Amino acid sequence: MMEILQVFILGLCLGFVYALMVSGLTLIFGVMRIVNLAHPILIISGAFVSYWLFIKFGMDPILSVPAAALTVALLGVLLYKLIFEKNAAQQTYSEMTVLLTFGTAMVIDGLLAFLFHNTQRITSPGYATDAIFIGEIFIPLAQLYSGIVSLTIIVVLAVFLKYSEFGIAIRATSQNRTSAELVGVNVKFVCLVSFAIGCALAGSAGALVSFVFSFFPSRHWEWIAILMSLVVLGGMGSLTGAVIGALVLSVVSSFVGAFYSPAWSTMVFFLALFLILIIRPRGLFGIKAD
Amino acid sequence: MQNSKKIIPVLILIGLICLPIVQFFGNYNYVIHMVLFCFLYITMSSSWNIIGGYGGFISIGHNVFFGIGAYFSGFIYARYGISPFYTAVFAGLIATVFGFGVGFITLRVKGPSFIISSIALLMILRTLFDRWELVGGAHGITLPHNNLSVEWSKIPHYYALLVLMVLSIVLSWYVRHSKFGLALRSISHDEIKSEVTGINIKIIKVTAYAISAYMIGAAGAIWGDYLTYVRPNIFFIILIAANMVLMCILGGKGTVTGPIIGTIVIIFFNEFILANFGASELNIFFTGLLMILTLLYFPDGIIGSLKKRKLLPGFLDWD
Amino acid sequence: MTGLLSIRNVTAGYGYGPDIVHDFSLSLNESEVKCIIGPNGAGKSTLLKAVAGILKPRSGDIFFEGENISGKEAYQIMRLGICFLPQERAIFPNLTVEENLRMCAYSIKDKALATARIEAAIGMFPVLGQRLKQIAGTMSGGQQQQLVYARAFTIKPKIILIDEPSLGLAPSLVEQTFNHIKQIAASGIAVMLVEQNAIKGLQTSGYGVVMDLGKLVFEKPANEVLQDQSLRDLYLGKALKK
Repeated sequence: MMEILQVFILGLCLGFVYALMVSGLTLIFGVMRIVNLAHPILIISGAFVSYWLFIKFGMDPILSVPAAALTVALLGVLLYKLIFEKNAAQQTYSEMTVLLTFGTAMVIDGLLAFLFHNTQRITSPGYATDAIFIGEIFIPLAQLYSGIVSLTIIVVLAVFLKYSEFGIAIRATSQNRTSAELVGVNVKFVCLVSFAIGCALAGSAGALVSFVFSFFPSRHWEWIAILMSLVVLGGMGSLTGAVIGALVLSVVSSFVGAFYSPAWSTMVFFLALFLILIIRPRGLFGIKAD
Repeated sequence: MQNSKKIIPVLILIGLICLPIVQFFGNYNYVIHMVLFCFLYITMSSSWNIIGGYGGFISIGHNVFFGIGAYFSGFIYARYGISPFYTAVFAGLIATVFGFGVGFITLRVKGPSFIISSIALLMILRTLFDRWELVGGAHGITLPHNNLSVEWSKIPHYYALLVLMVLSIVLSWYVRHSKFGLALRSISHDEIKSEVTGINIKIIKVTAYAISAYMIGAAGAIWGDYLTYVRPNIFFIILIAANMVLMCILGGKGTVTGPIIGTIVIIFFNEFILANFGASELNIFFTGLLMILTLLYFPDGIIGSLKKRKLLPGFLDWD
Repeated sequence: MTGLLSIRNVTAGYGYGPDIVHDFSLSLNESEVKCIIGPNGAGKSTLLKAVAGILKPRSGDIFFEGENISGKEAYQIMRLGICFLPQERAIFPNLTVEENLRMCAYSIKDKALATARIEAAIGMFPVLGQRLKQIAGTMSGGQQQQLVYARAFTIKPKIILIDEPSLGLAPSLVEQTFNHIKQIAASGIAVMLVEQNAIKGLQTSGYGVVMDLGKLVFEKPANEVLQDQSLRDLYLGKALKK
């Protein structure tokens, strides 16, 4: 029983991290219908920021979240201006844009691999090897802290989107861009800021991931498949759906990893994707069939 | 104009058939290798074009069929000694059957969901084959070399891939000019409108997807024998899929000659990069950069752009 | 020709397509209500979109309060005082009614004024007031319609452009809609509407503007258009003779 509870809690902690990773992706898709395949490599970029801050200055990766978020956000704005802005003009999804993000992912991957090589890295702050005991349950601090911080950021995001003026404008723009424009929303600006926020979320996820998973540039392919599966699962563009999907699948994945075989834990995500495609193609919370 | 349209490709074909003669004059293995590498990718990108170009369904994990074909024939060769040159035909068939099954599920959704499912499929198979003890897991299957001497060992593969390439191009041409192809292309523009004209869009989409798998599977079987090993980290990597897509787009997706031209350009571009920069990480960098630039400034591809400007030479216009 | 809105020799079309509106000129003064009628494809909606900034005019100018607005972004034109209700009279389906109203008031900088306007709009449409927390997309067609028109009272623009107000509405709602338009006009907002239901449209308006093949055919006081027999036959349909 205790073991089950432990696996569940660990799965949940990881789930919040995955949820953070997928939140930026979902936001960008919701507002601009861009399936950003470069999102995971941006997460890894954030991880590298934290890594180097840790190596050079001994900065705790959790403290480096703002720095990582800002760096990746700026990178994102640059990419947006150079590559995506023209295509984001239409709110309709286009294959071309997905392939553009694909090319972008490869460019950043190649660059990072060239600069830093594909060695596995991980930041190892003091607590990375510690754990706490709640009764008989053993929870590594790395997972716990990353889960809590991820949860916090997601809550802040949700509150921002739900209650702030600009947050409502973002939601309105993703629902009906023309109507938003006709009530005076500067839609181009909203798109740019949403993209920046999405990238900031990626960067912060990267900072947290840096001490939970070992990372290297090519790892983003694995994460593309996982995160994209979550986006489809939750229903394209639904933040609630993506978060819930992340939590559920992460817990299931943890159970599979603990009681069946660790090698199969990531398969859970891909198989879930195919299951959803068979049963309910528009995802758990899908608003429209896409 | 009409005559040059037919003569030039025939001349090129004759030239390719005769090319291995150079091996009598010395060891031109590098040339043979480059040419048959082109054959391989022209086969794959032309086949991808059927579902990706004509059909508009972008699959960025299409090399799953490549791997399936390689593993099928490789396994049979390692176990039972039957050469992939005989089993390639069936490798393609296996890939097609798999394509039918997968396509039935994934082609229910459009656009972004489909692309994502294609990536997920690749990851699933990669993980699966990495752990499957029967086919060697991550170490894969090692195949025996053929008994031919150094100058001639590549030649069987050369001709096998030449045949596959020609068949792929013919298949692509056929799809492009058939009623089936017309239905497919109308589906790629607007599914709903196509459906109301009475087309069974499901069957057509899935068939196109499955057809596109055949040549790729057969090519995988031959390629496995060529490399003499079949491993997940050779066959199920995303770079292959990326190249397939890029070659098609750079050349001009939805055209018959587009993939051919695109493949040749990319392969020579890659060689150039390799020669000057060596490292494989930069390979990914430049492939990605090329993809971005092509999509932003060259979305119709080489053939498409030339066509628009009415500069396309007749022998390249097979649409 | 001056006045509040002055459309001068505007030519417009979609994408790379042909010109739909040809060299069109029209003006709208304060408190005027003009109804544009004409056959399908005449370019009526295209004209409104060009004024609203959804389309950029290919040539010609549009002056609003003396300022040339052609080429400006839609949101900028909106903030200057022109509100457009397009054919796809979309609200934000997944926001609550209250959030929808807050979005309507998005352009109002003064928070207190925004709140006051929203209150006033709710006053005019009590049905909305009862459903503030309801997801807007789950309301009935008629209720959503009210939300759309609440936008006009929240924003209080100088001009409101309405593209086919009666389109797709049940007859009972048509009556309600034109009453809303009359209320809007009564509150001092200038109205330019495009309407297929020419009779209802003209009955609500001060002027009738006939448009065909992208060009202005003529403009006359609405009741003259309604009463003129030959015009009636040509554009409003012949009555069956016994």
